Amino acid sequence: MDFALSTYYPIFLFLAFLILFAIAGTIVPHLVGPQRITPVKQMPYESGMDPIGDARKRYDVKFYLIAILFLVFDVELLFLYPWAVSAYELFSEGALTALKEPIFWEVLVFLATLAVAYLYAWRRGVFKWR
Amino acid sequence: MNPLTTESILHSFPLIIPEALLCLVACVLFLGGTFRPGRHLWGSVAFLALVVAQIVVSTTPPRAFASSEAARSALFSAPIWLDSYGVLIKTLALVGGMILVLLSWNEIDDHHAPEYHGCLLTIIAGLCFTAGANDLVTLFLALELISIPTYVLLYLPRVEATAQEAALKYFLLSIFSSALLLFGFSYLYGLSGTTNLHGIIDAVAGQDLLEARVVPGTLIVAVFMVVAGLGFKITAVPFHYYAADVYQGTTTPCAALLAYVPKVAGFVALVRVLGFLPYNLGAERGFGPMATSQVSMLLWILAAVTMTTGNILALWQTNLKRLLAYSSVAHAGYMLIGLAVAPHINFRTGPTALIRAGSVDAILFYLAAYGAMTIGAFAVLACLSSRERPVEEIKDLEGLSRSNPGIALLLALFLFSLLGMPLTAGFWGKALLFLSAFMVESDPTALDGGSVARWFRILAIIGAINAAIAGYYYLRVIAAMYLLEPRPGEKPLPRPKLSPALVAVFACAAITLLLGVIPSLLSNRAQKAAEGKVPVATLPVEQQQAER
Amino acid sequence: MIEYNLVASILTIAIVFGAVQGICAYSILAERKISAWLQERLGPNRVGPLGLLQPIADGVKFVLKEQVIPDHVDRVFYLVAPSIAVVTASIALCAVPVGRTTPAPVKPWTGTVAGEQQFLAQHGPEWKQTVEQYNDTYQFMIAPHLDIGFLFIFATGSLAAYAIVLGGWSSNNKYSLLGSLRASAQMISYEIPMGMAILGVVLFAGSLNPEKIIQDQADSGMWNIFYHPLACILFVTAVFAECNRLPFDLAETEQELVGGYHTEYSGMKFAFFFLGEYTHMVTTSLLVTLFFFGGWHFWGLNFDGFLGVVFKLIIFVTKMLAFIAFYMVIRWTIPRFRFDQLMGMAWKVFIPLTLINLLATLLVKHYGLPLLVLTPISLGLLLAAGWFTLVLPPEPQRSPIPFRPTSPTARTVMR
Repeated sequence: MDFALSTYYPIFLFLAFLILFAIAGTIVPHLVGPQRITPVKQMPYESGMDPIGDARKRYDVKFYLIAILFLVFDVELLFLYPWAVSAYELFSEGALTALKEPIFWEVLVFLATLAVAYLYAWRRGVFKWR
Repeated sequence: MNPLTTESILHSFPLIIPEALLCLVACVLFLGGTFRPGRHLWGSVAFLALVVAQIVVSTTPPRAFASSEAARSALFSAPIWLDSYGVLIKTLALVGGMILVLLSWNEIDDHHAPEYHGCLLTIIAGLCFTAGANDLVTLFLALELISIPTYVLLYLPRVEATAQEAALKYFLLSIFSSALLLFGFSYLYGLSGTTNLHGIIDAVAGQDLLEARVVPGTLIVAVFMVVAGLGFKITAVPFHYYAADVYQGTTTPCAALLAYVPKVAGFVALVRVLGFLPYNLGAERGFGPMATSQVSMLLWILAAVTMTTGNILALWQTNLKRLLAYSSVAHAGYMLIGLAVAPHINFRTGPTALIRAGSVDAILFYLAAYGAMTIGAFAVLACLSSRERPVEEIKDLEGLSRSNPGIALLLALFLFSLLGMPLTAGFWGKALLFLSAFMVESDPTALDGGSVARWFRILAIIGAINAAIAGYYYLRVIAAMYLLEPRPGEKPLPRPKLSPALVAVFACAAITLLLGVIPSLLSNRAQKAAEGKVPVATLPVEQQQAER
Repeated sequence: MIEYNLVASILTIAIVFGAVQGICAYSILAERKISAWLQERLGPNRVGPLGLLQPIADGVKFVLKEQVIPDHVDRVFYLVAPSIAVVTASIALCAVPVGRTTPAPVKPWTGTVAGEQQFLAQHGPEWKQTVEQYNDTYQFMIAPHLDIGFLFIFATGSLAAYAIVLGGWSSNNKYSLLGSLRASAQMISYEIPMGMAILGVVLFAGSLNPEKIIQDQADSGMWNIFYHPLACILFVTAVFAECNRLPFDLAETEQELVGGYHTEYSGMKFAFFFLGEYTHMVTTSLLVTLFFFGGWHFWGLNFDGFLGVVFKLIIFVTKMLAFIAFYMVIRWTIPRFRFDQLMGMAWKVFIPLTLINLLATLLVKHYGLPLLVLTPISLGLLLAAGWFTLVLPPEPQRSPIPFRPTSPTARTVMR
């Protein structure tokens, strides 16, 4: 299919509509609803206790490790999508047939590399959640 | 995509067997290390992998092309292109890798050893990739394959503030330089519409441009960015400032690695991207469009400034690693002479001097010599230094010739070689480079009116003056070792036991001496490599003649 | 050239958005009803007959309630977060076909300009006719013939994590922060198996275009679930986690974190978070339907013309509603996981399983084996995984974290 930007017009249209909807939804209730501010209402809700200190505390480094690992795997997924779409559509006929086998083996190597990284992370205890 | 193109892509796979092997072993190291720590086990695995890769590299025959048509197709479409230049660089990389593995053998604790050696193997694999890269994408990947494990490597051995600072500094500046490089690459791609290196050179060159000696402004930007990005790797002057801090902060083997691997990668990449390797496929083919006076001028200035700055800054150093860092900056400057000269030592004009000196081959020779002597000097420091008695400052070496005559002699050898004394490898390296600058012939038809030769003689003289300046700080170290008494109250340095690091020192010394006495061992091969002959060697004889 | 029809797209947007809002509102009611029935209660039954007007009353209440903005919040992000939730969840609907669709005609790939010209010279009129025919048929989806279809859905779906992170962080409340941290870790962890599970399907369809995947299933009459049962199970489970539904609702564990990331939200902003969550549910139900359950296809109900449009819409919506009901029943069937179990499941079970599944699919595809071979392989893998968990030695029990009285200087780390 030819690429046409018009494919994306409905998305832009819907996006504009949604943003308007969200803005309206945020602002209108403020105009409609009552405003009765009391000090207790403005406090952080911590099950009725007076909060001790700020909420912006240090947290476990595990979350950071998970985020990094997610990046690795997500980027790998991004490589696999174009491959999955084109590998057996584009390379099964015509001049590109010769590349079909090498691509298959390359993907196997790619997955193997990924598996090595995965096992390494596992062995190093990244997935261990104390 | 025609069948020849697919074929040339398919034929690239056998060319990367050594790199694939190294990466495979690196994977084994990473995984195996989680099961069993041990520096002896994993160190020997890494060393063995490098040896096997070297055997593969040296026994693989050059690729046989059925016809010059196939060769041309491979040259212009394959992601990997392995000529004799590439093979030579791979050898440099692998031998360097072996020495570095030996050097870091005992510097790393058992638990970090597998990861350390794994990263080291990946770095060496990246360097081998750089040697064969024929495409901007492959080249960038190869360079990143060097950079990214280097960051890890710098973090691994030590957990202390200075090492962390060094690692972070290197990391930030290195990704910055990668960005510059990519920016330049994107311009090159935009200008030519291809990522193939030879394709770029052909597309941008056009015969007209080459004759007129003018280049589009965007090309200047592209080349500028590429030189800047790679300049970081070779510590050319505006990008040299990290070197001293990083070398000082990190461990000695890591400093040796940083002094050697990125430099080789940077110069190889510069030679490839700027198209300074002529390639002749039947028809004669000149240098790329980058070989214009503007680019040459840029490299001229870079060379002069780099060596002068490096040498002058080294004069004030009292810390040995900082001193070696600035000395490595200066050496990058010397090698840049070769790059600046490259467009002018044209095979069309041909060499006329008695000794046939090129420029790209001089760089190659210098890289080998520089590697041996710098790694050797660092290796001596690594051997001498211990936790109780670290060797950091020049004054730590005072009186070394009394307590440790053998090792003092070896360090003196490396320093003399760095200085460029005859009978050492450093002498021939400098000689080839300076001679190549002297041999530039003026082209009266050029726009600059034939003043090129004069400019390059000036550059050679600047180089010679610099070599003299460098004498001061190298000799200062030697004087500390030989002329001064050991400081009273200071424990004398212990005699190093026979260890892998000492073997590395001996290997470096052997290479330095061997290349110093019989330079033709390498220079002949380097010259052949730099001639850029496409290995259509297996063609039938009559066809070869027809193509000539 | 495929033409763009503004009227059709405005109409579709109106229908789809309106319908999804309605479904969201009533699935909240359904949720409450089903919960009540499962717990032998009556559930909401005061507003209107059988409580059917309850969602409308709720909606009005959300708008008319006081909109509290506590003093301690970061105002900008606090206000923006709910909007992000609702926008990102809804925008994914663009690429989901909801009724009858046909894949756009595809020109064979030639790779060269000359090849394309040759094709046009040979098949020009037929090609033109096909395109015109396509232009004339109404596609029941907001953005038809979007080649990157699923990629778009996953991309926007993962943006939902921003809403949760920003909402939790800007609230400046310890419960909110913990809830948002957990939610984001959970969402990104389960996104990977979710994306990998469908790779096998994409590999067989050779396209990311949802219309094409439905059409393939309709043409063969075999839904993907028959070939990829394991992928389906993994995908559905990952989708549960993505939507923060029980048993994966670690983000808002009422017993420990009050409301999780939306503790400090009230009124319409709170409603937006819920709206986003339920829209996400609807979208993912649609996704499961069209990936594994044949979309608008049902055997023997393939009519042409207007009847076809109506039937396909009904089939699609029924499948989706069945899936939403499944969501709700599951909620009261399986107890909530512990956080370490949750993360362990994503990283130690799902990712290896999806990888192996992908490998099996790839081998079948590459060696051209009959598709039905995949079914036993897939089920076998599932059984093997189950067997494996039984055989493996049990994980050592967590050692309780010793209680240390906190001094003002002690480092406190939140988990």
